[in-house]
Amino acid sequence: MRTSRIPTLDAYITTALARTGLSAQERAVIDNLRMEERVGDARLNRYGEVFRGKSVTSVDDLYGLQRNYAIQYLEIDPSEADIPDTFAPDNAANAWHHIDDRLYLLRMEDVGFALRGSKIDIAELELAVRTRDGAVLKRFCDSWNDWRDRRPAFATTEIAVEDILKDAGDDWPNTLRDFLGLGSYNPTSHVAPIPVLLMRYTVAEVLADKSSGTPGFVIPTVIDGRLNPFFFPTPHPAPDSDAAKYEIGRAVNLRPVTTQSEYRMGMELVHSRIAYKPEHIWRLGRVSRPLTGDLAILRSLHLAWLQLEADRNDFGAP
Amino acid sequence: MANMNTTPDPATQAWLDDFAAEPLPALDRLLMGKVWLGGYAAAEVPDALPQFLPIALHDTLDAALLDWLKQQLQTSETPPGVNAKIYAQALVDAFALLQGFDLPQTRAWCAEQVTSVWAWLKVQAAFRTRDPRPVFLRALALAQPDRKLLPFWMMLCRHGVREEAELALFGLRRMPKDDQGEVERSLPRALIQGFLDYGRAAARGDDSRKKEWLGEVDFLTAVYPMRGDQWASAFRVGMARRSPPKRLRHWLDERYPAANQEPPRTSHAAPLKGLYWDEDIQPLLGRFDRNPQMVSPALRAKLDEYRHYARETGDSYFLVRTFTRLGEYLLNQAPHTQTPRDPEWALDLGQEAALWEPSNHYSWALVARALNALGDWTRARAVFWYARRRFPHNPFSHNQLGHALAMRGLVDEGEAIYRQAIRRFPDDPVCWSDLAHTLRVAGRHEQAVAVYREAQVFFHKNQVLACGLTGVLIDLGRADEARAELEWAYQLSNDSINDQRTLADLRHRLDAIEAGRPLPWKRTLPAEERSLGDFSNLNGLVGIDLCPMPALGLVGLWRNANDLQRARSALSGLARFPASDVERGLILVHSKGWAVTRDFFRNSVQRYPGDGCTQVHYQRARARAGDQVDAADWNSLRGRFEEFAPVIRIEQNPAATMPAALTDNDAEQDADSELSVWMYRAGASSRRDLIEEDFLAARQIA
Repeated sequence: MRTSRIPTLDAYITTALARTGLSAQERAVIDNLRMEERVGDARLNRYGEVFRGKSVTSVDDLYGLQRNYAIQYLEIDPSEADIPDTFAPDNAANAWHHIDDRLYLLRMEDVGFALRGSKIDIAELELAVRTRDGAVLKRFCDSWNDWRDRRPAFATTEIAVEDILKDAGDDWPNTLRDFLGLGSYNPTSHVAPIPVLLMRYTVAEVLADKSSGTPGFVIPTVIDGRLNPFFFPTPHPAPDSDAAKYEIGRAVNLRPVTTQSEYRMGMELVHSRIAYKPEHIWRLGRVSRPLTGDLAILRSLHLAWLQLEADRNDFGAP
Repeated sequence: MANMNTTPDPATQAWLDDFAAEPLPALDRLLMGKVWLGGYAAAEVPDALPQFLPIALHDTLDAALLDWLKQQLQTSETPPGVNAKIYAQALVDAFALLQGFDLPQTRAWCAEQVTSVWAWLKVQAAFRTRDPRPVFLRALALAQPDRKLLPFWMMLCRHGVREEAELALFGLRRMPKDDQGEVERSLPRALIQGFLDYGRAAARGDDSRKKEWLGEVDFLTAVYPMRGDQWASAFRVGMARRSPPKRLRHWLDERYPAANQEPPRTSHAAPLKGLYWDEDIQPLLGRFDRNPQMVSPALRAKLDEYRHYARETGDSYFLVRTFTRLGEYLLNQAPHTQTPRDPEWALDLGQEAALWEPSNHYSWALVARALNALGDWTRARAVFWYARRRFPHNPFSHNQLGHALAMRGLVDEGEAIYRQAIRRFPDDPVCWSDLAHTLRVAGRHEQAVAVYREAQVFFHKNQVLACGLTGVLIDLGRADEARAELEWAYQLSNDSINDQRTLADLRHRLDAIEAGRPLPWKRTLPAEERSLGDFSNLNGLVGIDLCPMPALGLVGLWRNANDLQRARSALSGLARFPASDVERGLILVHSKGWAVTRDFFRNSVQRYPGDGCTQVHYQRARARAGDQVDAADWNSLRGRFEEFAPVIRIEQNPAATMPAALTDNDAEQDADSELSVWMYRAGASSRRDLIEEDFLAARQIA
C-alpha cells in the first residue's frame, strides 16, 4: 500500500522498523500495510482521511485510527445509506465473480458476540442447536441479525475445509481456527473455552440477500477489518507468468509447523452481509486450545508459498 | 521468536501492566478503542478480554468498570473528540463486559441505579447495531441475585416497545424465585403477567402487532414445555383479576382458547387471594380516626397482602391504586385534630407506588403533597415541578403546583402557572376555579373575584364558579352581591347531596357575615428552603436529578409569559444538560429569531447526539427558520426516535390523524398514550407550539 501518501502513517512505519525489539505482531501489521497492493487510490484517500490531523506515534494510535476507518466506512448499519468500502465500485478490481453459487460457505462466529443483545442464554442456545429447535433458533437469529452491521464477513468454502473438518472430528473448532488464521480466538490456559458457531450457507444466498446493499465477494485487503496480525495480504500474480490467473484470498495457517512442506495456506474470502436463518447454524463448539505456533515462522512460510503461487519473488521484499 | 501463547502477547501484556497500575485510565483507553491488543485486536473488547485477563484482576476490572460507568453518568454529553458511533460502541462493550465477567460490584450498582442508568442511556447516541440499551438489559437479566428488578421489568413490559419488552421478559425468566436467590424451576407467575402487560400495549388499536406477540407465545411455549391445558390455566389465572382487552383475548384464542373459558371443575389452580378496596381497606378506614393505633397494624397487614400479590405476580395495578388512594386519605385532615392523619406514611406509600408505576401521575401527586405536608418544601417543590413537566396533559399537575406555590407565598408564580394552564386547557373550568380559589385562600380576594367574573364569561352556567364567587364575596363582606350570586348558584344546582350541602354552608356563612361574624382566612406558609432528606431516593425513582426541576420549570414559565428577564435569571443558575439547553434555545426565539435558534440547536445536537428531544427541536427550528426540511428528514428522525412521533407527524401535517392505538376505547391507555392524544388534538389549534414544547419536554424525562 502506498503508505507514503499518508505521511503520519509512513513516519510511524519508518520509526517502528528502526526500533529494536519490535514484536512479531507489530511487525506483522506493519509488513501487511507495506505489502498490500490491492488498495486503490480512491480507497486509499478515504483511508488517509482518518489520519488527517492525527499523529501516529504508536501502534495503539494506528489501531485506533484504523478502527475509526472500519467503524466509519466498513461497519455500516443496515439502516444507513452508505455501503461498506469493501463492496464499493472503487474496490471492484478485487471482486470475486466466479464462485459457483451452489457452494456452501463456512464462517466461524463468536457466540459471545452473537448473544450480546439476545433474549436467550448460552445453555438454551446449545440445547436448541442440538435439538434443532426452530422456534428458539429463529428468535436467536432475529436478535443477532439486529446486531450485525454490514462489515465484510471473512469466510471460506466448505470444499476448502471438508477434509480438515472430517479429520478433526470434535476438535473442529481448534482446527478450523488454525486453518483460517483466526488467531483472536486464543484462550489462555486459565479461562473457559470460547463457544463458537459454525455457520453454513450458500454463495447464492449471499448474492440474494438484499440487506447487504451490494451483494458480492471480494479478495480481502489489509483495511477490510481491524488491525490484525494474523491477516496476510494476497499479491496480484506476475503479469507475464504461468501463475494462476484466478486470484483468491489466502489465510495464514496457524497450525504449528516449521517447514515449507508441512505448511498449507488457508483459503479465505470476504462477502457481503447475509441475514442468518436457523438453518445456517451448522455446529456449535468450543475453541479450547491456545495458539502454539510461532507467528514469525508461519508468516515466513506463508509468504514463501504466496510468492511461489503468484510467481512474485518480489512480493514482501524488504 | 517466542511462540504465541507461552509468552503473553507483548501488546496484551503491556495493557495488563497499565491496567494493574492504573485501572481506570487503562480501561477507558481500551473501551474508547485506543489500545491495540496485538493478537486479540481483531476481536471486540468483550470477546478478547475474557481470553487473557488473569482471574486475579477480575476484582480490579469490577472496580474500574464501576468507576468508569459512574464517570460516564456524570454528563449526557459525548466525550469531547469522540465520534458518537465510537462512544456507542464503548458503552456496548462496557455492558458486554458485565455480561461476560462476574462483576458483582458493578452489577449491584447497575441494579440499584437501574432507573438512572436507563434514563441516561435513553439520551445516549445509539445505532441499530451499536445500541447499549439491550446489552445493559441483558447484563442485568443474566445475573439477578434477588427479585429487586421486578418493577423495572414490569415497567418495560407495560411500555410495550418490542425489543425492550422481550428483554424484560428474559429478565423475568431469569429472575430467582425469591430474594434469597433460589432458582425458579417452574413457569414464573410474573412472567405471565409481564407477558399480558406487553400484550395490552401491543393490542392497542389494531392487529398489526399480533404476529409479534404470538411469536413470543410460541417462543415461551418452546422454552417452557407444558401441556396446552397448563398454559391455558396459567393465562386464565393471570387474567382473572384484571381482564385484558378483547383484542388480546382474541389473539390468545389462536393458541390457547381454553384460557378464555371457565376453568374445568377439576382445576387445582389456586390463585392468589383477591384484594378489594371496598372489602379490605374501606372497613378499616371507617374506624381509623377513632383509634388509629389499633387500626394501623391491621391496615399495614392488608397492604402487605397487596405487596405480596405484586411481588408474586408482577401485577402492581391494584397496589398502585390502593396505595395512592390510601395515601390521599392519610394526607387529609382528621376531623377532630384538623391536621393531616399521617403524611409520613402517605409519603412512603406514594414512593412505593411510584417505584412500581413511575408513569402514574397520582403517585407523584401524592409524593409531592406528602412532602409539602411534612414541611419539606425543597423536595416537594421539585416533585411538583417534575410532575408538571412529566404530565403536562393533566390539568391537575399544573393546578396543584400553582396552588402549592401560592400557599407558600409565591402567589405571582402560582398565578402564572394557572394562567398558562388555562392557555393549555381553555375548555376546562377547573383551572379557572382553582386559580380563583387559590387567590382567595392566599388572601387576594379582589383578584379572586376578578378571576371568577372572567371565568363566568366562558362558563356562565358553571355552578362551581358561582359557589366559589359567592364564597369570596362573603369573605369580602359584599353581602348583596354574594346573595345574588348564591341565588344564581341555586339555579344552577342539581339535587345532589354535595351540591345542597355546599349551598347550605354558603347560606350559613352569608347569614353569619350579615350578623357580623366573618369566618377566618387560611394563612400561607413561608417558601423557605427546608428539606428532611436528600434527593437520592427520589432521583432513583425518576432516574434523573430532580434538583434543577424548579429552575427549569421557571425558565419555561417566564419564557411563555414573555418575561424574558425572569426567564434568563432562572436559567443563569442552571448547568448545561439537554433540558436546560432546550430552554436556552427556546429563549433565543424571542430575542434573536429562529435562524439563531436553529444554529444553537445545531450545536446542541452535536453535544447530545442521542437526545431525541434536542433533535426534534433542531428540526423544528430549521423548519421555522425557513430551511427546506423534507419528508425524508422527518422520517429519518422518526426512525430513530419513535417516541416523538406525534410531534414529528404534526410538524409534517398539523391535521395528522391519530393512530388507531390511541383511539381504542377497549384498551388501557397509560400516561404516555394520554400525552400523545393531547398532542394530536392540539395539532391544528393555536396552542400547537406550546403543547409541542410540553410534549417534547415530557418525553425527554419520561
